[in-house]
Amino acid sequence: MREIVLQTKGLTKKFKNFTALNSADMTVYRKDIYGLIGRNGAGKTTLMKTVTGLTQKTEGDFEIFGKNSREYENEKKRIGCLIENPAFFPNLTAYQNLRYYAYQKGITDLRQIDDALELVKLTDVKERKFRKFSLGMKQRLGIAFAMLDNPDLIILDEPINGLDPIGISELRETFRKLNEERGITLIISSHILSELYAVANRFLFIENGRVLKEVSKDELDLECSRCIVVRSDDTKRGAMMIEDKLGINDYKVIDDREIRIYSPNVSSVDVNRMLVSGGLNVSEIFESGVSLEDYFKQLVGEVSK
Amino acid sequence: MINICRADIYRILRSKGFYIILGVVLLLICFTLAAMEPGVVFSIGLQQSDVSEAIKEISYDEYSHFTIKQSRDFLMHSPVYWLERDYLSQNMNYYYMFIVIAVITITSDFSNGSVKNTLSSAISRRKYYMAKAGLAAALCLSVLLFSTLMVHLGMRLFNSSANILSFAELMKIFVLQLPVALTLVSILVGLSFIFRKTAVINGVTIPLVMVFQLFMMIAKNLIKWDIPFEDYELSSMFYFMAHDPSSSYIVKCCLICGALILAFNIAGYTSFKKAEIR
Repeated sequence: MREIVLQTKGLTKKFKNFTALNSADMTVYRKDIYGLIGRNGAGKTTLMKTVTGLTQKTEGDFEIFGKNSREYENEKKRIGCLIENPAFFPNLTAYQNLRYYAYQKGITDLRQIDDALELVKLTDVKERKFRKFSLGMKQRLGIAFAMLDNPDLIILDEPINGLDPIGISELRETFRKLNEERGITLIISSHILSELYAVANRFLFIENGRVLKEVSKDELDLECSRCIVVRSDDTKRGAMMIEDKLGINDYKVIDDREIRIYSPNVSSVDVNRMLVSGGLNVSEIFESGVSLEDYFKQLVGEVSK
Repeated sequence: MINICRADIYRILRSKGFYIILGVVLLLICFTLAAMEPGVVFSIGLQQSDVSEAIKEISYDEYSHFTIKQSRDFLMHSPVYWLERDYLSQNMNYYYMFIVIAVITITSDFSNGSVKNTLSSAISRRKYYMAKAGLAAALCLSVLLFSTLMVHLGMRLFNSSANILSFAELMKIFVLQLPVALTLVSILVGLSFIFRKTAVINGVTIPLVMVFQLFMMIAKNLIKWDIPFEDYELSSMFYFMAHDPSSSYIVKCCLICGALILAFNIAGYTSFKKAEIR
């Protein structure tokens, strides 16, 4: 069984009359790259701030490394964070800022600071004061801070904000490297779906403070991939006919009205002919394939209905 | 907590604020030693300076026409005037230095937003509060000790013909004033954790003592209200603690200071514990 790094149960955060996070359930396993997807103001940052103790939960609870919200203080050193905008002391250089946090975390091997700066390509400007940094450089320093001391869990809120395309691509590789080589679990939030899709292996869709769906990359691929959608009043019999007569196993019964066939070796005309000749009432049949954006819109639309 | 303090000392030693404080303290001491009168950042004490006692043998009118050199010579040879005691009795002046220390130790962390880095991946709010409050107190008391020792050293080097307190007497005054100084620090620490923004802290703490003194002055001089707690107001405590206080006065002061230290720290911590960190 996979080790759970972070689990929330009914986590709720209310600000007076506004519910920023509404009974959120999520599970992050060790070595996951977990993508939090949602629009601006969806509740991604509130979720991150709640599990890192920057804001207090109203209801529900969470566990980090098996310790609940009242017990996890000693586990904080295993977490690296970049929440909202990167915040450092403007009068200190990049190196001095990281050294400050290295002292805080009790890091004795100060070479780790250079390693972190190297990882985010800031070695050349490490003696430059933070106030003179561009937005992208500040963002990279924030990521270097989160990576300091090789944490077991890194939580990054919109880490690619302000980065140029090459920077984004380099960062994506860095995340993969940290995940694969050092076994670090990452939770990354973004509203740029394609970027998260490129790096994460599990996803949480969130809207208006409510969790819409938690899916793995395989499940997401399946939901978004090209398929033939068959709508009928007898999906059970339809599924048997698809398996027996067409020899297709690559399909999914969505509900009692819909079947999706993912096999690329069959056309909708053949499927329709076979089902109708077998006596099944087919109310609708069409080819479908949704983009990630459309999928998200669909999810948000379903909830708002 | 030690790690937090260590990191903050590393940072503070790289900021200008702390060196500016030390510079102002040295300037104040130089002025004090040269003029033989305590240098005052801002006159906020209700108590008079010891100079008024020393000039009783001459008229105030005569003294007011003295040049700095004449008043220096007069006070230097006065048998009743002790500059160090007078200087230490005006330690309420350090309130303004303490504001700067509270800002560079605590509120700069909130203003930059860097506090969220510490709280999200280093320590709990309780330990953070204790570390910051402890460090602010240590720095403030260090500055106070530094100024006390520098005045004493300066007196021995440059004003050796004047009355000079023994080292033991000097330290006795410092120790007696400690609860009052800690109260001052606690007020600033508490307010820093309640308001959490440098601009707000400056806006609240800088006029705070002046407003308080104004009310006291109005009560005393306009309404002719015989304020029972006048002797237990912080600047008075600094003054009397430097002038051989009675045991009962020391006990009362310690109790008042203890209550204020507790009240402001509880208020600060409670507010910080519930605060949304931005």
